[in-house]
Amino acid sequence: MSDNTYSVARSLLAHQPLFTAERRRHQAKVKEAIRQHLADMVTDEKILVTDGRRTLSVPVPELNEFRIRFDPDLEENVGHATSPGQAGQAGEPASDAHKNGREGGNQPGLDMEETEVSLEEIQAAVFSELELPDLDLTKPSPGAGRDFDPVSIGRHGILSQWDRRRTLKAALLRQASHPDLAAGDLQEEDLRFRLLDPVHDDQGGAVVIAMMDTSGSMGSFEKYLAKSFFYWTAEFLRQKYPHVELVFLAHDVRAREVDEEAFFHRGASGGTVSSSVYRLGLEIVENRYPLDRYNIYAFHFTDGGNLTSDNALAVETGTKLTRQVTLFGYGEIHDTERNPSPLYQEFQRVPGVGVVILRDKEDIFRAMTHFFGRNEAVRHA
Amino acid sequence: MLDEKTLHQLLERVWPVAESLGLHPGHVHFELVSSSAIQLLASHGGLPVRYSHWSFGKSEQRLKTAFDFRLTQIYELVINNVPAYAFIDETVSPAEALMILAHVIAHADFFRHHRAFQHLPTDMLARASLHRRQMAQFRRLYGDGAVESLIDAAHILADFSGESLSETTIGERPDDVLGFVARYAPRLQDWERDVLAMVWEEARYFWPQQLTKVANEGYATFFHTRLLRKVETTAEESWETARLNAQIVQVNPPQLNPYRLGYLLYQEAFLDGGLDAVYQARDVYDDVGLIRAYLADELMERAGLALFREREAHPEPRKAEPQDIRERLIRDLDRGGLPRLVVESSGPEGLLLRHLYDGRDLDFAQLPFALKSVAARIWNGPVTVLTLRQRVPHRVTHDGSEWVDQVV
Repeated sequence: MSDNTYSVARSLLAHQPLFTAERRRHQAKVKEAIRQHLADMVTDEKILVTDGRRTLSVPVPELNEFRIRFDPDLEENVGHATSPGQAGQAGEPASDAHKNGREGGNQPGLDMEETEVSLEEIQAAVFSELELPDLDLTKPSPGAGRDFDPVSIGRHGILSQWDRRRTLKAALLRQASHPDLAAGDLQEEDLRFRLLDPVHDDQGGAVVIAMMDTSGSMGSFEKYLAKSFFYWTAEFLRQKYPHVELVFLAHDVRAREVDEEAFFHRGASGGTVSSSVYRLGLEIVENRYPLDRYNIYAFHFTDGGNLTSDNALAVETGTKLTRQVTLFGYGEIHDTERNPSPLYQEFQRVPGVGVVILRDKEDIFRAMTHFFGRNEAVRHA
Repeated sequence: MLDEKTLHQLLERVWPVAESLGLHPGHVHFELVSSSAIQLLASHGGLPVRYSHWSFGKSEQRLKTAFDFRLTQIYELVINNVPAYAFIDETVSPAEALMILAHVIAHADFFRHHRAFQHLPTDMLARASLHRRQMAQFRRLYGDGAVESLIDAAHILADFSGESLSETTIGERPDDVLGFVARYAPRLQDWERDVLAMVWEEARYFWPQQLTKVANEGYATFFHTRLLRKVETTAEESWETARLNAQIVQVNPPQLNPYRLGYLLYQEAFLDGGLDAVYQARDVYDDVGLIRAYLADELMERAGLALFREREAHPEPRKAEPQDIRERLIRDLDRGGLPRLVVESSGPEGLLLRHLYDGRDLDFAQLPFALKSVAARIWNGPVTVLTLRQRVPHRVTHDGSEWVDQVV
């Protein structure tokens, strides 16, 4: 197509912004569908063992355009078998059989289309909704605070950050190197702007204490749910609040501080004494994270099978811990339908404790939005 | 890369030969476009400018992916309009272009002569562009969501906008379900009826093309083969065109290749009564008619047609009697492979449709979603389909919130 002739194609494609809008609308619909399946996806076991770089095939039913059609599974169709002269012989299934956009991989009646989503996309979608609640930004420790420092100079920027002095200097330098140019002529290339880079400052110090029951009564399902919750919480914090500290505590009848590796890969044995881990949490808070410098968040996940004789002490230390921290979250995992434990019922009455019961995989995402969701009114119920 | 001058020279070689054989393609506007442009032009189902809808974005993405992985290449795109617009990929070699031009001329000739295309608007490109502007206006007035959901539902019924290949008025015949609801759906506003009428008009424009895939491609293949025999070509050009032709008609089990089947059928017509018979077949037959007229048992053997279960991972051809295969083939192609649906009645109890059962079940996995969309967005009340499933009569209803499947 040369530029001086009239082109029908060019005039038709002048509507290309329209095409872009269609493409964007389609992608927006894909995203929407993905969001609706987040609960399924964040609990996908495959993700837990991911190296963080994997892309996943995600079923997205909403994208299907449903039609009134014949059932494709019941019917035989006529097709070409082989080239003439070799009648009756089965042809090798062609490698490019989906040339016509027809793919046979879907299971009958499933009505799903698969779309590739990277782990980052899922995380971005999940984490965009979450934040540390009631964060006090005046606590002076490395943590969640953020400030902007003018650290570099660029040629593009917003007008309010226009650096007049540097712009003038650049103009003078340019004119000095080309003496034939008229002086005082300001060119676009001379413009200089201050660029503000976000820096972490010593504000909004925060620490998250992860407490997990590793007693013998925690079955593989309970452990899986608790670990999933802490895995996603750790991922969320690392991405959004990279300077927030994490403390991992595991307990059965006694509590110990463990490193992250051990926390996620620990076996389980022994009985359950929840007060032990609360006491350890309190000690750590008192010795290492002074209240005037840190926002403290504590989460405890258990199956609720606390030793009956320990219940009163656990409630007492738990309540004490609650007074020291911004939020104390108590999660109880039930694999069968049963009543909440006495501990749960007691904590429900204590102001400042967020309680939640997890029954299946979908509840992990629910628990996360419960604790970290924006405008979650029931958090301190 | 091909330039306009070369294209012109090629056209001067092939056009007079086409006319001498009796082709009258009328005014054709040829234009060279880039590979990506032709794929964009083709992404809207055959009309380059249409109203905006996300499903076109989806098909464009599919085409683009197929193109990026070099699974498909679109050599040409002919738009049935007066003048006919023919877009040709500029990356093809001159010899390939020679064959593509011959192919395109035959397509244009087919559109100009086949009976099913005679009543269609000659300015469809302009009309589609008008639809686009009107839909955009509706979006501004009534919101993106309202228009999009209406088009979603209208696309479901667009397959049922009348079986006739002749000119019809909207909503007159019982098999015109989309036209019927556009006229008689009780709680639609005027602009919503306008939207449905626009979708209906474009569906009617595409309907003859859906029913003449084998005929149209076969006709074009038949003539590019003939034309290239008459045009003086160098040895290299002969080699290149022969290679491209072989690519086009190659067998790719278990798929049906319309180029190959159509070519064999017109070849049969030619053996039967010369070019006159070919032109006659072009004027009157759709795919099914062409098969009924010319697909003899012996030809079926030569074409290598067999029965496949397409859903199988490695479909094996199943031996069957020629009569059997022919009947299946006709059934596959009849009505473009779509079920037959007619309006039975409508009233306070909703819209009642009857599926004219021919032994093939409807896809009950999709049906509830399809009916829901129609019931909720277009009819604003229950939509019922009477059908059979495994030869047992079923009565399925969706009222927008609930799906009921009754055996009657």
